[in-house]
Amino acid sequence: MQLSPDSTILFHYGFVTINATILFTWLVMGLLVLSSWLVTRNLSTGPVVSRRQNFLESIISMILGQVGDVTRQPPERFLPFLGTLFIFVAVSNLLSVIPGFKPPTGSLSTTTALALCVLVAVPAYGIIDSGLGEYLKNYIRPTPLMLPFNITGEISRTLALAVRLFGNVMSGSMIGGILLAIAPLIFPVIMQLLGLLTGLVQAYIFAILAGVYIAAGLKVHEETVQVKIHHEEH
Amino acid sequence: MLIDWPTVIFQIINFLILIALLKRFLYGPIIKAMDEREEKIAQSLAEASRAEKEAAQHAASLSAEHEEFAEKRVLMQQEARLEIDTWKEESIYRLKKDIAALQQSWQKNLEDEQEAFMKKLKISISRQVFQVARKAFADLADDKLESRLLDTFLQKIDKELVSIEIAKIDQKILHIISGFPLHQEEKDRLRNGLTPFFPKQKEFRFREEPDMGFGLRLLAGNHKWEWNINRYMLDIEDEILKTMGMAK
Repeated sequence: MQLSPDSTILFHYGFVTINATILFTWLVMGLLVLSSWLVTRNLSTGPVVSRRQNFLESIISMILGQVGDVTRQPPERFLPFLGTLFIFVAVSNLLSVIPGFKPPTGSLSTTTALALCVLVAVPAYGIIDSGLGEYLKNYIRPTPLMLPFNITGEISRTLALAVRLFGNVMSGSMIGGILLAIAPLIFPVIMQLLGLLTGLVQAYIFAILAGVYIAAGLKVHEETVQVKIHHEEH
Repeated sequence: MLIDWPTVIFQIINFLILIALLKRFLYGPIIKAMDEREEKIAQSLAEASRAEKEAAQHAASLSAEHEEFAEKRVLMQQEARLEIDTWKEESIYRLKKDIAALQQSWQKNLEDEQEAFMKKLKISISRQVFQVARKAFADLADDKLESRLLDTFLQKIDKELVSIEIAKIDQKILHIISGFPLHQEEKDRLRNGLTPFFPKQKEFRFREEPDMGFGLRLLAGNHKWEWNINRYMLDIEDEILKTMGMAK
């Protein structure tokens, strides 16, 4: 039994190996970009809006609202990163109902890649926001003794992010396969539907957690700035 | 091993490309469109509120104008009424004056006419009466009317001469003027009747003046006695006017 679509190798030339994960990722990417382009090539700014534009607008608005709620900041600058995380994971998970489609999120390589992106994005946003020195000081707060714990926390939560998504999606596919062997009728369909729900929930969790981590990196900085101002006033 | 590191690198690259592509084809245009729509809505709302404000201002100015107009109208009405009243009073006054003047002139005309008529009537009546009287006397007593006149004249002379000092009259000649021809007999009667009053006067001269009418006149020096039908005429005129209610 295959745990990951990584092992399905389609093309191999030297270092370059194209496996099912990459292929399905490209499929998802192509689908997303093509449908976006189809909808956004003639957008309406007037009061009459097409259904597809309305659908996309409502999704973007929802993402913006959620990101704004989590980060408590103007959400536009987080939208490309967090929005793409959510949309990519969600679409990958939803497409898993198509027979033969292996969701790329069911590969630990993909989830690790996404988690690494989050791992880099958190300090990147923090450094853009407050500068490198100020951001690095966060690791020795409240005392330098906390440095190893902070670093461990950073790594462990990245690992958790990757493994959580991988485990959920993979287990969904696995359960589907196992149930198919035990009870071939009806029950696997229900589980598949449940899989759709868990897929969406996982996408939401992944994006929201990424948002929370980024916001946490910013918040520490904000709090220190506020404390400084407070001290200066006194 | 579940993690295939080349795949991880590929996926990271893929993910970054996807971010770039979605930013180019999805987030950018959609957010731009949403912002534009929002701006348009805000603009139209602002425009609507501006238009509303303008309309309210316009309505306020219109209502103010309306009020002003109403006030002006009331004022003008009052002025017009006052003017009309004044004009009416003046007109009535003028009319009354005109009517009074007309009435006065009419009254004067009427009085003039009345007077003229009365004059005519008087003349006519006196003539008629005179004629009638003359005719009646002539018809009834032939020339007795003249002799009756002589009698009356002599009686009156008798009464009037008492108060005058006739003796002082030195005039020798007495003139007796009559409006009708006197017969010798009548002349004698007059001479006989008058001689006792005028002892100094020896001569009587008789003269006829038809213009005098039916009457007699006695001239002695500066004194004059006269009686004629005119006195009756005056009495008759008074009587007639009294009867007509126009006595003065």
